[in-house]
Order: sequence, then structure tokens, then C-alpha cells
Amino acid sequence: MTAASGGGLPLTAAQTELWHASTAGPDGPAPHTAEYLEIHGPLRPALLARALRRTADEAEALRTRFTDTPDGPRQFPVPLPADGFPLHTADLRRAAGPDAAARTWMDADLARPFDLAAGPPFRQALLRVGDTRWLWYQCAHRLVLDGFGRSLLVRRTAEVYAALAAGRPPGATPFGRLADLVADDLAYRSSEQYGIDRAHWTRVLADLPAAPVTPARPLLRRGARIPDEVTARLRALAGVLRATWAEVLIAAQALHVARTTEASDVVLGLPLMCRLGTAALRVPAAVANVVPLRLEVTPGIALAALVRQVVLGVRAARRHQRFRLGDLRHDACLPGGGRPPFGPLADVMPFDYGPAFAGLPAVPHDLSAGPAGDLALHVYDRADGRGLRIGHDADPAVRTRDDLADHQEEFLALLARVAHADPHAPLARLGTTTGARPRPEPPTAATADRDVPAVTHIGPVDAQARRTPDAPAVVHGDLVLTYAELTARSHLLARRLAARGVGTGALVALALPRSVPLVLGVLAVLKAGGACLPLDPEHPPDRLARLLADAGPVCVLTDRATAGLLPDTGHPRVLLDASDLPDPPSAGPPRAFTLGHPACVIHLPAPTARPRRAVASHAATADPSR
Amino acid sequence: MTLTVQRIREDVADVLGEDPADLPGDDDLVDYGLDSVRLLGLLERWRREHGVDVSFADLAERPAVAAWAALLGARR
Repeated sequence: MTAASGGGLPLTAAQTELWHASTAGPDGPAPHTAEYLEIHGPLRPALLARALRRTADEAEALRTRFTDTPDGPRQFPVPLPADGFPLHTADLRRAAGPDAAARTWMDADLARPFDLAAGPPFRQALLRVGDTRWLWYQCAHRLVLDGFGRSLLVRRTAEVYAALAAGRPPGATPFGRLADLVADDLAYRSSEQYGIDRAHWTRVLADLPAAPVTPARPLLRRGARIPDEVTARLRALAGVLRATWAEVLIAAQALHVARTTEASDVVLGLPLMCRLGTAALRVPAAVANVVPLRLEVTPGIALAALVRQVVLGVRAARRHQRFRLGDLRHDACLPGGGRPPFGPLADVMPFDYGPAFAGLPAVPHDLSAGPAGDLALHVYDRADGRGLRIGHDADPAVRTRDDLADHQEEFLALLARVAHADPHAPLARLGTTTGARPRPEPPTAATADRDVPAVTHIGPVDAQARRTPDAPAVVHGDLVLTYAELTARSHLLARRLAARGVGTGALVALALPRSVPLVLGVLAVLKAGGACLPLDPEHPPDRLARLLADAGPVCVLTDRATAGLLPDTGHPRVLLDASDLPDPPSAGPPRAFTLGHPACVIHLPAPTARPRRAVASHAATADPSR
Repeated sequence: MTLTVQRIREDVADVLGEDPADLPGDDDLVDYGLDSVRLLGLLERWRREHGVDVSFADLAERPAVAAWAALLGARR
């Protein structure tokens, strides 16, 4: 099919979806995809202009115009005019701040619409900001280009530039044809796989919780680098968990979103390139898809389990990645207005830029705003030896720039802790803040205005265990628990509690004899990140029942003997049994009950930023040191 | 250091978490879990350690050990 053909070409499913999104309303951010490449060295602007022109000539899918017809929108390849190639050049060296002036120009250009009916739907610019510093800017309508497509253009432009500079012909174009892309898309949509994929996503969408609305305003964006040491550890950790570093990052985003939104049912948006194994691999065009990735970030979950969810979820999504959710817009399951059925993006982009442009050091900078949505995370792997960069987006109606900065710093701190954490320990035990501003605490029964009886305090048992592991920590009658044993057993019990949903801020009622089991229980609850509500089983049952109803603990930690004394309030019980406790020694003199450490404190959960309000102590009830 | 076929096989096995002996010569590595992130990682490693000069699309076009050996001029 040639450019002279009267009827043009139909749109691909990806383009149709974008067409409906962009014509839906004029209030959204400009639907553009853009970036600039910062090039260092003796660039030859005239040569670059020729290379740009040559590359644009080759990229048929890029230079198209669009017309709405009775049969739906169609696209027509547009030959570039002999003059009037859309390249803006400017020498900003004499401006007060060349880089700032360049950014101002680029921001303004990003907001300028394209005339899709006339074409071409792209613009280029070359801005000189220093004697040997150039910013090459490219902007295109999302209908014709995605992020991967941009990287294809950069690579080919560099090839052509290098060839022209060396005085040799640039060689045959590596790009595929628009007609082949459209044909491939049509073949898929008439295939059996299409039906299978459609059924899959229909099922997934039917079950999803309501998604947040994508803001129509331009988003705030903040970038940062992931320190190399953290990246190295994340890669190693990923290897151990049989995942990629990208999957670990997606897990970290899920965890961060869960904490920020205080929800355990997280639906991320997962962009997929959809290039491998298709005709699209070498076509600068709009191909990428975004699908929902649903994750359960329960309080007690460990990194290994969360990463496993991500691995399986991504694998399932990839099996059906060619299906566009927009195809369901006429079905009942897509929310009104065709709103995307997912929350914040986890957008990992492995795009091959390399470190240089035709031998000149070059650094790419992504400029694409929306429709990413609030709390989107973008991760850039550019194979340029400069490590991983991230970007966070925020809805300015909900968050200030300071909020966005805090959010990003929190994410980086969380990432560092995840990189160093035991992948099988509850993630709830990782800290939640960088110590910047205090975060609002999630309301729990313990912080509400209630008369929660409480607490004694247990000192740093773990520290003592490191110093004198074999010293007796708890002694009661014949039962002796060394510091090492106490640490180990409370750790095991903590994991059992975490598996039952005990995490940061969770309240656990304890009904245990005031001896070794109670000390073990208290320590275990603290290690799981929870807070203790000691119960005296000698109190009347209806008083205990009222206490439990009021406080609403996650579970009741008790043993078989004591459980019988408790009222049945429906709260789940975790029973300490003989296997939790060491065997009594066969011989040895009876000893008085003591605790190795003189000051016994129960800390309210450490990871929260603000100290919980002090609670009155019912010392007689709760103090096991007596 | 020139890239060998054995090295290609070992590096691919490494990123896929497989035993090199289990990797087919001709089968599509995407069926064994190869994705874009892993592919870019391999490309970066081979560029850094062996001075390989191909693109992501070059490798992605035929993702198989034998095809890559031919493309990269790897010696046996």
C-alpha cells in the first residue's frame, strides 16, 4: 500500500484506543510523548538536521495524518514537505539562563496541539545551551509514537548522522512499514488468541475494586537516581528470588502505594512494550499497552511473597498483552467514561539509548506528562552505564511539590531498606519514614479514645542476646530460657503472628500466665510490629468480653489452659503450645522468677513516626516483673 | 575478550535462572522467560565485556542462542 492509495489505512487497536481518549475531552494534558537528549561535544547542527529529515522520511508510521470517516478514523502517510520540516533551532547561549530558557521553551511546546488532520504529528528542536552543549528535543502525538519508538528514532538518527559525518551512505532503513504493522494488528484481532485474551481481561476487570480517576490537569513530576549500591543489591536480591530487578521495583511500588493509600488491595497500572515477537519491533509507532496488576499487600507479607505475586501477575499479563482494554469500552465492565481500571503506574522502561550519540556523550531526559496519574512511578534503564533513574508523578490538586518530594524520598528510603532486608521477614517491620515530616497514623483501636489498659516495658532483649546469648533471660520454676532461646523462639512466634495478619499497629490481646509464656508472647508481638493488650484471665468474663469488643484486637494470643477461661468473643486465637517453649530441665534447684533485665518495657510499635500517646498503666495487671 | 557460544549460553542461563545444559540452541528464549528487561541486561553485559555492537532490536528479532551466536560472530 503506498502513500498514493486513496483509502489510507485503518488504525491499529492501540491507536483506536488513543484516538478515543484524545478526542474525549479538551481538558486533559496534551497527549504528547516527548524527550530531549543532552549532547556534549562538537555537534554539527546542519548534519543533525539532515539526519533528522532522513530518519523522519524512513519512519512512515510517524508522519501520518488522520481523518475521521464513516468507517472510523483512518491514517494516511504524509510525505514531508521539501521545505518546512518541523525543526525549530535556537541559540540560547546569550540568554540569562540558557538551560532554564530551553526548559521554558520545551514546556510551552509540549502544550501546543498538533493538527492531526493536516499532519505531521511531530516536532523537533535543537537548542544550543553552551559552546559544546546541545539539547535535541523531539515531541510527537501519542497516536504515532511511544517511549520505545522514541528510542528507535534516536538510535537511527545517530546512525545516519555518523554515516553523513564520515561521508558514507547511511545504509538501508532498519524500520518496518506502517502497512505491516496494521496488517499484523488485524491478524491478531481475527485470531483465536484475541478471543482468549478478551475473555481473560473481561474476567479480571469484573473483579477489580474501583479505580481512582486520572486527573485532567498536567501532573507534577520529580526525578531522582537510585544509588548504585541499592541497584546492585536489588539485582542480587532479584536473582535470589528468581525475579528481575524490575519485578522487585514493582513490588516496592506496590508496598509504597499500599502504605500511602492505606489499602492492602492495590491495583497498579502495568505498561507493557508489546514489541518482542511482533512486526512492531522495528517500527517507531504507538504500540505500548497498559493493563491492571492486582496485588495483595497484607500487613504481615514478606518481600519474597510479594515479589512472587508480581512475577506471576506480570507473567499472566504478558500472555494476554496484545489485547487493548479499550476494546471493552462498550461492554459493561469498563467504568463509565472509559476510565482506566487501575491505580498508580509501575512503569519500567528498558530502552536502549546507550551512552553516546554518534560518539558524543548524550544523556536522555524524559518529558512525557500524563496520562500517568497520581503516584505513578517511572523507572528508566537506558543501558548507558549511568544506572537507574526514576520519576514520580503527582496530581497537583491533591499534593504539593513538597508532598511529591517527600513521597519520592520515602520511596528511595524504602527501596534501600528493602534491598537490605531479609526477604522472608514481614515487610511491615521496615520503617515507614525518612524522619522528615511525621505521617498521619492510620487509626486503630489502640489510638482511638479508649481506655486501653496497658503496658509494661521490656528492654532491648535482642541487644542483650547479642552480648550474652547463653545467659538466662527468663526463669520460672524449672523453666529457664536463655537470651538466645528467647530471641529465637520469639522470632518464630512473631512469624506465626505475622502470618495471621499481625503487623505495624496491629493490636494483639495476650492471655497468658505471668511467666515465660507471657514474656515470649509480648516479645513476639513487638517483633511482629504489633502492640500488646494484656488480659488478666482472673477478671470476670463479661469485663473481658467488653474489653475485647472495645479494643478489637487482630487476635488473642493464649495457651490451652488459659483459653478456657476466656469468653468466646469471636476473635481469632493463636495458641502457644508445648513446642513454643523449651523442655524443663531434668534437674536443678528451684529458683525465684526473675527477669534478666531490670527494667522491663513494652515499646509501642517502633516504626511509626509519632510516638503513640502514653497510656495509663495498670501495673498490677500487666507488669510481669512483679 | 571475544564472545563464545558457551559464554552466550551461560549468560542467558544466568539471567533466566536455568541450567545452561537445559537451554535449547534454536528455541525461542521468550518461551523460557526472556523479557525486555533481561534482554537489555544481556546486551549491556555483552557490550561492556565483549565490545559487542548490535541493537536491542537486532537481538530481539531472533531470540535464540544459535541465532545470537551467528549475529555476534561468536566463536565456538
